[in-house]
Amino acid sequence: MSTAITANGAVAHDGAHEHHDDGSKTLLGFWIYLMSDCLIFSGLFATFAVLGHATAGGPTAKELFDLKYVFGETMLLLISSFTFGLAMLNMHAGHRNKVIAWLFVTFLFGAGFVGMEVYEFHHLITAEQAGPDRSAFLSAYFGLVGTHGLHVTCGLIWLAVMMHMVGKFGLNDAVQRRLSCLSLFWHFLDLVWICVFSFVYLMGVV
Amino acid sequence: MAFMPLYVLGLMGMTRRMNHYANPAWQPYLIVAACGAGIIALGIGFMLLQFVVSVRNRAENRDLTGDPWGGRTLEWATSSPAPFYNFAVLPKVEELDQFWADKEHKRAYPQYAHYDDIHMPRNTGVGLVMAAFGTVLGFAMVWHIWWLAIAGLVGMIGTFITRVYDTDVDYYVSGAEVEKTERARLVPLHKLIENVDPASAGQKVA
Repeated sequence: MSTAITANGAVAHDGAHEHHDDGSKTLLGFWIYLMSDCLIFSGLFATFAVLGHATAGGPTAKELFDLKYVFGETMLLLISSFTFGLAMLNMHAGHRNKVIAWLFVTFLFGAGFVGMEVYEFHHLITAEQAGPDRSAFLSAYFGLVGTHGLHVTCGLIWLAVMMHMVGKFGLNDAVQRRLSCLSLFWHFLDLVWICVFSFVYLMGVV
Repeated sequence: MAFMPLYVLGLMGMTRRMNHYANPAWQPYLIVAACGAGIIALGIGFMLLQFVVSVRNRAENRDLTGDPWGGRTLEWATSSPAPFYNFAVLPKVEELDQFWADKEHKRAYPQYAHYDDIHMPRNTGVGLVMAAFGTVLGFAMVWHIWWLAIAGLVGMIGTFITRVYDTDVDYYVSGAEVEKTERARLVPLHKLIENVDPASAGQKVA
């Protein structure tokens, strides 16, 4: 079977060096993850749309929600998306310390958002006696807004790890890939919050 | 034959797990179902027999080609079990049934004079550790042991974050080792199929 033996190493060479991961596959996979997350949120939104008026004699959205307070939360999250954008611009420019600084600012705004939300939930459950077990409306509300809040909390942990990684490893390929994914994640959460603000709070109060 | 009559019986009002029944209209269906159960039992018996015969005659039926059924597609082109790097050289696909075409043109099982290093991911036990912490978390949540639930969750996230800092995640198999592995399979294989129609080589030498 000597005919099958090729002396030309270049033939065996083909494709052997295409294994290096340029991060594009990871980003595509992350998009697919975000779309599946979209399905989760669309299910929660649909639940809220169906149950939003099923207050079982309990408090309604109009009585519970304070638009000014929620607008404050919204601004924190919107600004944090902007500062994350600045971090990404600095990443592409290769300014390592500025990346860490803007990530830290983003972290502060994100933590502010989660803090305000925790306070809001605490106020609803204790002062207003309007916990998730009060009515179908409140179950759907806590399910939807709580899921978003958990996502933001995970994003905060991720942000903290990335700040440390940028400091430790610099802006290498893996760090840039992960920052790109986190950026997508953060903007996605912003988008979901816009929908929460519009459908849950604005339409609830109007 | 075993289950279709049971569906009919269910529609006729029969429940599961009775210790007796007094409805004569069910009797014919139950007899048919009993015959069906007998056939299933036969099937299980023959499967056990197959196991016994396969173990007893394993020496003479051993497959050295990786292609015991005369396969048409590339998953049959590697050895069985496949080497840990799968293909030594990425196969070039030009036909729908590439492996079949290779055998027809007597170019299946190619031997190369030179093999490139192969880029491989390193194995890791992190997934197993995370699953163990996940089991702890699940158990604690079911039984409302909150301190244990927190420990499980922190363990999961901590293990994951530790993994993120692991930069030693890949390695290269040296071309020399690939050549050694390939030769150990291909040299005896070429002797086996030299005088056999390559398309059915698998069946005839198996």
